[in-house]
Amino acid sequence: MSVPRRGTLPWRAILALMVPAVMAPAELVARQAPVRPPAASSAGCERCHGELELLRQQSGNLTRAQNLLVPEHVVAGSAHAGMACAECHTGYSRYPHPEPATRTATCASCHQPADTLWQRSMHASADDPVTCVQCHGSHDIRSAAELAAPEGVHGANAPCASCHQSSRIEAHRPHAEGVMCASCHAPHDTRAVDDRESWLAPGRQQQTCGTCHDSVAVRWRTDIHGDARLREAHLAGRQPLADVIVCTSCHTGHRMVGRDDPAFMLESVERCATCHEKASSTFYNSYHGRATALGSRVSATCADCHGAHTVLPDTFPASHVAEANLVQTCAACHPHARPAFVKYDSHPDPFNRARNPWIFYSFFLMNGLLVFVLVVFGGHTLLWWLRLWLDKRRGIIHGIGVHHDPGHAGDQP
Amino acid sequence: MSTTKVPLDSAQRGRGPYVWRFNLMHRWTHFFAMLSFYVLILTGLPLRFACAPFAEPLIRFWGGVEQAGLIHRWMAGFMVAYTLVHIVYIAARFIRSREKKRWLWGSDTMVPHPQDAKDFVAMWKWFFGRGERPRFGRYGYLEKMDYFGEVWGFIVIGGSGFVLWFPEFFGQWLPGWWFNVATVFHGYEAMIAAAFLFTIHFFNVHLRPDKFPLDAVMFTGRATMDYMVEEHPEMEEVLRRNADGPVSERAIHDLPAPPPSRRMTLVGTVLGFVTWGIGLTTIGMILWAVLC
Repeated sequence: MSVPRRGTLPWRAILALMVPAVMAPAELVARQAPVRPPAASSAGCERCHGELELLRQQSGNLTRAQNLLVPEHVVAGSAHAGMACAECHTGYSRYPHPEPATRTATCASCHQPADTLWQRSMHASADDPVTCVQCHGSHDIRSAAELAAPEGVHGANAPCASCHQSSRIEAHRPHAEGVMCASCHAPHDTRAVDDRESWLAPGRQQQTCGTCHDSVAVRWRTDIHGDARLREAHLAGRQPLADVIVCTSCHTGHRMVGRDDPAFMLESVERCATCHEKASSTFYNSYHGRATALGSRVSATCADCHGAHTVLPDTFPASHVAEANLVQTCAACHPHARPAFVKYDSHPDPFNRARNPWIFYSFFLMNGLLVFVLVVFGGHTLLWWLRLWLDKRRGIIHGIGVHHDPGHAGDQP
Repeated sequence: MSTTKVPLDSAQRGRGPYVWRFNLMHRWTHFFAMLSFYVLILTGLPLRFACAPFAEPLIRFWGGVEQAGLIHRWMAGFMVAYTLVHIVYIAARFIRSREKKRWLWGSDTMVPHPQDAKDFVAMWKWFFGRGERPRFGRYGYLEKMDYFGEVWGFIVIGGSGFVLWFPEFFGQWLPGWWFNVATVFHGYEAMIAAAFLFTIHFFNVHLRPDKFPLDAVMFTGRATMDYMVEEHPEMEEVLRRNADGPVSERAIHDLPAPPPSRRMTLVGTVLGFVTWGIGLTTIGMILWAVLC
């Protein structure tokens, strides 16, 4: 059994302070028994570090005394309950404490795997490294299970927010409740999102989000955005993609919009539009697009026709917008859709004659009619006004009850 | 030069007596047409120009896009209803008329005439100083243009709107792109109608300098003899002949009428100003949307 250094120094501390081992709570000793010497106790430390007034007198400073104060119940309520002070605070076994104390035990002494991960994180390589206690706290340290519990999440996220203030997720957004920062950003191996090793890096994000959203992750594998080989085959080198598409490409990160948010519909169209510019502009030519832009929650958006995580080009037989599947796709909203009905062009482009000549011709016919009306009748109006103005300058006043010959101009009855 | 106060309503200017020009049926039909057109254009406009800055506040005014759509359809139904009443009324008037030939072909008919084309040409000649201003009958080409313009608009907008109202029903036989075409026709014809009514019609009846700022004859139903002689000189002889006829609210055309009451004048003036105010604002919104 490989028990680390723990155990050797506490014995000495206990002997030095002559504190009976029986004062440690019996059940905690029993629980921790296999890894910890049974007589481990902090009662000697408690004698000073449990008394604020004593500490104040010794240190001569109230603030310093408050920092040194560790009431027993704080440790007893933590994940480290039952551990002796000296297991972490090595080198303080004698009193008066040597100055500075030689510390030999670290968190890594017990938590080796977490430390290994942390060493590779952005927190470790920062100019002012973010250490274990800055996130986990010290004496009130909580277990991983406790942190992951819904009521613990806020506490777990609070240390992150103390530095990453602007990344705090607003209360109405998804993931604001019940999700830890660490769930997506990794608890110890925390890296910048553009780091290739980050949990949110293109190759790994699917797995990270899939931890909770597993059914989505499975469907995503059949999506042209999710399947790189499919995508390359479809594009066949036509236009290289600037970016790999990952969950956050559409859903974004902290500013994610939930399905029950009124902005969801428009937001999701805007996300697709960042790459599919043309399809989005023609979508806004259609009734679906315009009603959506005005806040309709029932009008179809991209995902209603193309699918959300099963998007495929219409050339694929499995595509929602493949000709053979259109009746079924449209029928989701239009239950009486027929093969004729689905010939509607959801992306009308009046300038594209090849796509739909009827839209092209009707658009130009109606524009022609508009111009004709404006020119002929607008011209009629302008010339009429001009005639009356010219006549007025020549002294001929037109008007009801006004005589027309210049001699009587302006006469009113 | 006289300092007599000129009434705002150009139909009340000049010498009397007053004569009936529009009966209650005409006036209510025009009022309904006005009301429904305004509601239809203001509920449809935000959808047509969904990207315009005014679209969102305007749709909020109606209580959301679904609500606006519902009001739009109710108003379309109302428009169909009064149009049917109007058709029945016109048919009944024609059937009961003892002078069917005059009704269709007389100088005071609403039916388009070769004379209208001649008047139209004469009007352009007058604009360029190449002739006299044409002498209109009771209904000149201006009135016929307004009336048949609306008939055309009703058919195009109503037809396309009806197809768009029941896409699944029509989609059983019509290929789906008919809805695309219907959308183009519906939106553009509505814009043409708005452009025509809110600039050309408004100028012709209210805003031209010789009638500015208002002509409330369609609201009060009556105008002075001087107004009729100026605007519809061909009717002068008929009007003078009828000068001693009966005075009746049941409005037989061209008969003497009592002067409009103060209340009637107020209603007509307010309606006139409010409607051309909304109309010109709507034109402003369309220009804003098109130019932005």
